[in-house]
Amino acid sequence: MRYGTSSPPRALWPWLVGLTCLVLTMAGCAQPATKDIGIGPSDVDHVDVYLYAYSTEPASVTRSIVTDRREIEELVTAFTDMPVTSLPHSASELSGQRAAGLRFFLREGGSVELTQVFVGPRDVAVFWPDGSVVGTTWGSPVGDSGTPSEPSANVSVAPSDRPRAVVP
Amino acid sequence: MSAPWRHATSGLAAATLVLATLNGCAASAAAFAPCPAEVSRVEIFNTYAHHTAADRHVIVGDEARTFCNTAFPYDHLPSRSFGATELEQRRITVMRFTGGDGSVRTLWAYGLAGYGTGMAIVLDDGTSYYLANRGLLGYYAASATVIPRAEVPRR
Repeated sequence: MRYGTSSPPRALWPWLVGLTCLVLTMAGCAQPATKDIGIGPSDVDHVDVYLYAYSTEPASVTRSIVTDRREIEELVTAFTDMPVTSLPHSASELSGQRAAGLRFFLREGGSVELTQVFVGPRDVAVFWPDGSVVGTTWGSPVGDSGTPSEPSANVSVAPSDRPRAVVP
Repeated sequence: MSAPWRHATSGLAAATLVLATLNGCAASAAAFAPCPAEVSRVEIFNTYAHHTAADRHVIVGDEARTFCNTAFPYDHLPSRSFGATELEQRRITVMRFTGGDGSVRTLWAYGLAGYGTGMAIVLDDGTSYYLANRGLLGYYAASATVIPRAEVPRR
């Protein structure tokens, strides 16, 4: 009598090899978890962009307004089918990092708001409208190009005006 | 059936299964040239899923010709058919071209739902293509006119 782990019958080996290949093939197509803003550029009238160093009580916040349709498209696309993971940072680790609160004003009324905190390349935190906070590899610091970075377009506003962004 | 033949048959069936799976992702490339000759005007419409708002802007003359020379940097795209449920879930961009002879051609581009899923492109002659990225921009002007969704050309 043999003890220990028994081997599958020889007739099953080709199927096991085939099944393994199939699993590996499917694994290559596996989709990451995603989140989606649920609106398109054509739904948006304009976007208010609030820039500050991340804190639950930032000392200063500036706001600019994006009306260029191309820039609105870029901002909406950045939060469409975004691959996400659980947040790999604590609130203290996010503190002081570049934050951009985005408030999308819709043509049909109302608004959608979220906040991006740029920690580093491929290391970005996003606060979603549903209150969830996730990590993602997508994103560059908002304000590095386009209207929001224009100093003349920025005005100081009360910190309480910015979209809410609190780590649960 | 002898054991070696049985093994070979099983292996062949397994390999066929894998190949069939892989083949589901394959598609043949076909010529892709949506712009008519001597294009004189391009109307671009943008809308989203089933939403009611839409944008429209118009490009004419040299700007339209430049647009056609630069907007489609590929002369072949994979042919692919799409189910109705795959389309109209994300951004929809419609381009209506007017040629030098007055002929009109229309292109529909649909952002597909999901991470890295690319775009579906459908022409008014019924041909459809797959664009592996979302490189087809929707907006080519800083401003646009807001129109009802009903004014966007339908297939």
